[in-house]
Amino acid sequence: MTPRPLTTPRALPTPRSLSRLAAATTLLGALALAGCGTQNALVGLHPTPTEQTASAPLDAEGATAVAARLLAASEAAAGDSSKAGAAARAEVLSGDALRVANAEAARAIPAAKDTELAPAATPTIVAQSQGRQWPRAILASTLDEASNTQWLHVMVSPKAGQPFRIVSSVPMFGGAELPALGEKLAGAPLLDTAQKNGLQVSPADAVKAYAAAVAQPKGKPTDVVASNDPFATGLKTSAATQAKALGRLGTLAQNHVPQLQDAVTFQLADGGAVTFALMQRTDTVTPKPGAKELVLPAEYAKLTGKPKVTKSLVLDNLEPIVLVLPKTGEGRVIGASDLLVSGKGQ
Amino acid sequence: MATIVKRVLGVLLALLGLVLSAVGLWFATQLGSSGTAEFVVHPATADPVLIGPDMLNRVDADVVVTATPTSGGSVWMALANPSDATAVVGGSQHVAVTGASVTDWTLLTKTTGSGAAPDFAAADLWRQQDDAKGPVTLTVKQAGAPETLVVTAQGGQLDTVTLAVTNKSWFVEAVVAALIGLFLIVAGVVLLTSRTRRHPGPVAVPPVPVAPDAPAGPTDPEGAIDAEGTIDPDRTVGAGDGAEPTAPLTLGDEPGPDSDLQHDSDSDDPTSPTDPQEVTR
Repeated sequence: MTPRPLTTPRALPTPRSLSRLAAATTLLGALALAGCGTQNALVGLHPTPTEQTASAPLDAEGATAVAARLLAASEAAAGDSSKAGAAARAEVLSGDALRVANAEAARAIPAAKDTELAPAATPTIVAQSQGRQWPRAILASTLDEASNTQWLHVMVSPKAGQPFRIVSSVPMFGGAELPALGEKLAGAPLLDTAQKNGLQVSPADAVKAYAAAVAQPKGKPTDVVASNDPFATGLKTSAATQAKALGRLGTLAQNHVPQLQDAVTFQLADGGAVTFALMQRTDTVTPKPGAKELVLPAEYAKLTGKPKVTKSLVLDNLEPIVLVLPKTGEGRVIGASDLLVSGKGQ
Repeated sequence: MATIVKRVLGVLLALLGLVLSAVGLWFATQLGSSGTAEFVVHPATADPVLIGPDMLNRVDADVVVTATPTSGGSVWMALANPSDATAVVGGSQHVAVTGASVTDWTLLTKTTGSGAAPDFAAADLWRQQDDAKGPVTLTVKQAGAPETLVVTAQGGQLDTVTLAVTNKSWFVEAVVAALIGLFLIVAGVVLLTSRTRRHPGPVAVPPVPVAPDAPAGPTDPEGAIDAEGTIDPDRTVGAGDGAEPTAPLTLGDEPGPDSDLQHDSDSDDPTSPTDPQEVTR
């Protein structure tokens, strides 16, 4: 019989108190952690989203608003030969379009009738230039329901603080198609017209080749751009008709000079390019030695201020064109127009 | 030791709860049941004010910005891509909103740049714009994020620019925080006031000798138990009326009710000398 130890041990924490201690410590730890790193998550704050710069600068709504405003304003300012009219046109037009519109106003050609500017129909945004840099461009289309003609308009904003202005308005040929320019929100890169940009020739050289090919009486053949489009065919037919009318009295020569300082080129989705350019055509009628004089039609007489010429008649025309240049193969003109702007007779 | 830890924990919990409750209640009253946080700045300048995506696009909710001109003035306000807004403002003098202070619900600003600002309205880079004589309000949708808002006064100065964000969950979170704080306060107080079970100090009891051999020792101060362990009949106490115990129930110091010296009914040794029945036999 061993004596039992009669001393009592110190009071030990019971399981219940231990669990309370653990729970309290856990709670304190959780609260401390919450205060350290999850405050933003608790109130729903997230990091600032990053700007996607490789996209169209404006959304479709914004681009449409810009295009609609410019087209409406250009129509309102068209045909006014006063200084105020010129100033109003300069607010909404620039480059080739302004040049054409001023020529129209000078000749008192009514707006939207055989003019280079489209009526203010509701525009459809075809593409925008890609990226956040300047210049920026918007390509829009409108449908002239009266003539069932599709127009293409290019609007350019040269600097951050400067608004878009219409730089080119060209009617498309019937049945012509503009290849896709890619996703609208992604935008289409603006290309340097003078550079090849991975193409067989630069858009500038393609326009020059086309200009040479459609010259009359004998153009320079090219395999860069087709010269059998409606515009080229029309020029050829018209020149032949005039030459026939002149007969033995005189000769007609047509020369086209590309004006590329304001040309705009978008990259197509397939790697090709579409270029909006201007050509200046000069028609020169020279009386043959056997002819004493040439009596001019009323339109030319009004333009030159002379009813007849004895040495030469020079007529200047502006020809905005749209040229599609595929990545490989022959380019083609899908839209063009011409406007007689001035003339000189001797 | 455990008691000290419990009390320290109790104090910490109570303090934490107090802070949490105060903060929760303060936010709940400031935000209101709609959960609207409204920050104000008084630019008092004709310079444009820029509010960037850091302020406009860090929440999922719409952000409503209201600008008020000084008396008689008008306000022009527009949204743009952040890089576009930066490009059009350029190096001109402007007020940039750099943050918000929750303690006084103000927008923090910083004036930078020099020179007059250009005519912003002429630029074609605005996603949304509005202008009017008097206050102008523009709602920033998060679908277009990130965006920068440009505000400028025309014919006067900007009196106030207010940025409001409504998130009902903020009010709920504030209330929940207050409730959690209250719970922590209660938990802390319980920990502080709960008593640890008290144990007596160590009791030193000399070992009891084996009954048959043990002489009347210190456990039998009156010599009631003889050398053989039997009790002197003449010294037996309280045998007659039964009102008193017939034998001492304890040996040595009087133990407490919880003492380990209490009879262990489960003891395997029925002849234990501490067994009162054995002692009185």
